[in-house]
Amino acid sequence: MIIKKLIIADYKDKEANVFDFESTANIIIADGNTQGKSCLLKSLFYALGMGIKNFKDTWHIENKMLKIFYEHNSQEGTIIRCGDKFWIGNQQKFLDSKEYAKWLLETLGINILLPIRQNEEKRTIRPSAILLPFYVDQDTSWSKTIYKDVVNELGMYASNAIPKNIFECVFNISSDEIIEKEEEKIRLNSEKTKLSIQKNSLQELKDSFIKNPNGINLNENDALEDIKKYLIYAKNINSKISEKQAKIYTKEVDLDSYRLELRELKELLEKTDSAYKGIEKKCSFCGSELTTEQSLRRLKLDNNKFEIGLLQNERAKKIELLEGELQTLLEEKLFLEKDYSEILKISEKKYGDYTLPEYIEDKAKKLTKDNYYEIEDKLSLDITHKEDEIKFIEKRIRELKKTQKEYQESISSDFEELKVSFKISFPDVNLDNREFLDFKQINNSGATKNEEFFILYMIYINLLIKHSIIEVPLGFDSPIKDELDGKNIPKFYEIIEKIILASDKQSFVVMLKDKLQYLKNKNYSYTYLKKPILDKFMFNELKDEFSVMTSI
Amino acid sequence: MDKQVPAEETYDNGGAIAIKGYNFQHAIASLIIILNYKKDDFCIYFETKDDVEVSLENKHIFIQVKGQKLSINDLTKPEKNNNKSILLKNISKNSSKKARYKVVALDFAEKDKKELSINQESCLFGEINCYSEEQKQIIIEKLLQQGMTEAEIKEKLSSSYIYFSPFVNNAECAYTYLLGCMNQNEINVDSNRGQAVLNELLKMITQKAEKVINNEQEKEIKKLESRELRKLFKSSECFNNRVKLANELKNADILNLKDYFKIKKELLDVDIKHRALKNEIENTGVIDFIETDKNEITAIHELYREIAKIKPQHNKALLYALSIDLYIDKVISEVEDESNDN
Repeated sequence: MIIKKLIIADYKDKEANVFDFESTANIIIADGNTQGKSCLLKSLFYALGMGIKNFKDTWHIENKMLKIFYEHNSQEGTIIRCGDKFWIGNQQKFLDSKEYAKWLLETLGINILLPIRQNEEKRTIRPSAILLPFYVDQDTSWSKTIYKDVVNELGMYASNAIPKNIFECVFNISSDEIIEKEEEKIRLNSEKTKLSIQKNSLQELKDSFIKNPNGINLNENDALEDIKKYLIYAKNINSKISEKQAKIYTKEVDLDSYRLELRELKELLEKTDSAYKGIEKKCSFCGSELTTEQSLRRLKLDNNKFEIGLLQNERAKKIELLEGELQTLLEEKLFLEKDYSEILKISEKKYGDYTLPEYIEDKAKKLTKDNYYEIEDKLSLDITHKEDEIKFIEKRIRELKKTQKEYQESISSDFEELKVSFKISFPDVNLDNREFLDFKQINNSGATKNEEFFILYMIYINLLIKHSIIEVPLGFDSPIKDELDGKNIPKFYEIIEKIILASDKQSFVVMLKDKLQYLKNKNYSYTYLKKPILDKFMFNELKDEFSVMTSI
Repeated sequence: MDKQVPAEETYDNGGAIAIKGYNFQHAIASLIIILNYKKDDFCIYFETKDDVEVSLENKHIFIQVKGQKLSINDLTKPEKNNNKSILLKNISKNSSKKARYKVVALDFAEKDKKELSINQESCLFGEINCYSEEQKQIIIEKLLQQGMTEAEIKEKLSSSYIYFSPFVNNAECAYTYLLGCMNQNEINVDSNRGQAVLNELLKMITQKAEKVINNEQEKEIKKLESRELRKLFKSSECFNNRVKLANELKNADILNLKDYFKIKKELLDVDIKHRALKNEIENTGVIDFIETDKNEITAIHELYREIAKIKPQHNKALLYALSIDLYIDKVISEVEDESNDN
């Protein structure tokens, strides 16, 4: 990704400016300090998505909109950043920080996901993490060790992830893909084992499953015709039987209730009779003799006896009738059941030399056998597929490991070479115990500390220029102070020129004008800055660049 | 009769219909009752001074009943044990002018029968036979020998008649005739219930006839009056009405078919199983407010509503059965009241 232009607009103070850059070395230069050199570099990387920790108090980034014009893989594009929102010109849409990180990874053609502190299983990515190896900040890149605590938003990641995992990705020596493939291999193996167990179980049951069919042939059409006919017949009879059964049930219920009533009536008659006898001579209720009351009572009971008799008779007739109907129904049902059992004799009927059940059994045997082999074949095929997949993945793992080993060796060896070369120039700095991708704390102090920082940054920048698989501009801003590093200053700039400025990568290096004297080659792109770097006049000219933001 | 109710052949019906102990004398008494019970002053005694005594229209009628075919000779021939003839026994009772003397026989000797003349204004039987003058003369002659004066005989003979039974002397004929007679005289005999009321009538006659009395005061116990008889016959009608009322309740959609069948049975159980409950309801006086001269169904339905308030725990069928029973009791009791008013 090459940055071609940066526009900064402060929509509160209504000031703006535009900065054009070359695709190679760009030196941001000013006559003195506090002119805004670092501020411009910070703003540039901020616009790219970096979570810059400390702008100067006077530089209100929250009021600013920044627009980058870039070129990547021969494609041009723009990014506008305003606060946490990113406008991607090519996509004509707004992205939040996470979405932007994803977009940036896709655009750069790399996959980086970092384990977070609380749960290493969970992996995410922030824009700052992608850009981290390529940016050295004047204020935050020079405290404990290189590439540590440079930006705000990376505190969430596991400590060894920053910056080691990022560099591994950028150098394409990350074991992430290998681990991923190994996991997939384990999964495939377990699936294969499962399938094998199924197959073995199936084979063990083979003998009890498979009975060889005799290959009975039978006129299926005749049998089918018969079955159809019999089924209709059976259905008919069945429904008739159910009908009869329902009627029988109803009749039985009625009969029971009539019989019960008849018993009750008999009991009532006995009681009435006994009551009648009780008052035949002398009234047992009132003690009277030969009175009308006694007579009336007697007459009533006599009447009752008569009526009970009528009811009994009625019930008895009804019972007799019901019993007759029930008997008829039972006989009809029995007849139907006989019919039904006749139908079942279809199973004894022979079609040629065989009965239908024999034929069906033989068919079933054949189907079972076919089915068995079908399942077994499918299992075998699946197992073969799994084995192929496993082989493929094993090959890929081997390749990855080999490539990674090669890269690792190659970069490591460059790292060691660079260490040796710097040792000659900076004998005070001892890098013997500093291994490749070792980001342990730098314990020196004063000038030696700055030297060690500087050497390590230069080594990694050199490695990035040579081995990075992604194309990101380099930003370098040093805290070098004349009074502190006096005797080595020419040496620093000589190295910066040799490693950064002389490379064909795009880079942004901040320098004071008086340091230009240490550069051997003067033929670089320069951005001269003078306070104030934003201009009210320019705002009107440039504000339309952000029309997409203001229209919202 | 038996063929009409075949159930009795199979089931013990307690002899509700079979009338036992046939007695010609009682059958004739029943006939007299059936023919005359509607008359307000009708009053009948059994086995008192004569076989039957009737008091009616200010007359006092002494009746001798004989289940045989008689002749003038039979009537006047003294009996061996007491030397008194049938007719003498009959006419020797009371000598007041209101007295009438009647002999009821099965039949009369053809020769004697021809001489009889018919009086169509008999208060008891509608028409009755009077002796001819010649027959009276023979009678006088005969009776004179049995210790009665001629004048006395002559006077009594002027009020003496003979009546022949319209049925022959056997149970089947007698009861068939009597039932027909009941039907003609507005006594309900529907659904063979006439048998029950006839049975009860004969039972009362028998019991009253058998009762031994020692003085004139006790004679009252052997008496049956018009009002009692009317009540008896009315109640028979009412009992017959019970099922009819239940049926009407069903037709008026007050009862469903299931309840209707239940009620029929409960009605028969009111005086057995539910006697205490009935008494309890009677004592609340709900029945007093029910008017029997209005629509029966409305009255019964009203009574049911009242009873349901008092006894809400009982089922509909039972409460309706009780309502019908109580209503009928009230109707019967009002028959008596009417007579009293008269």
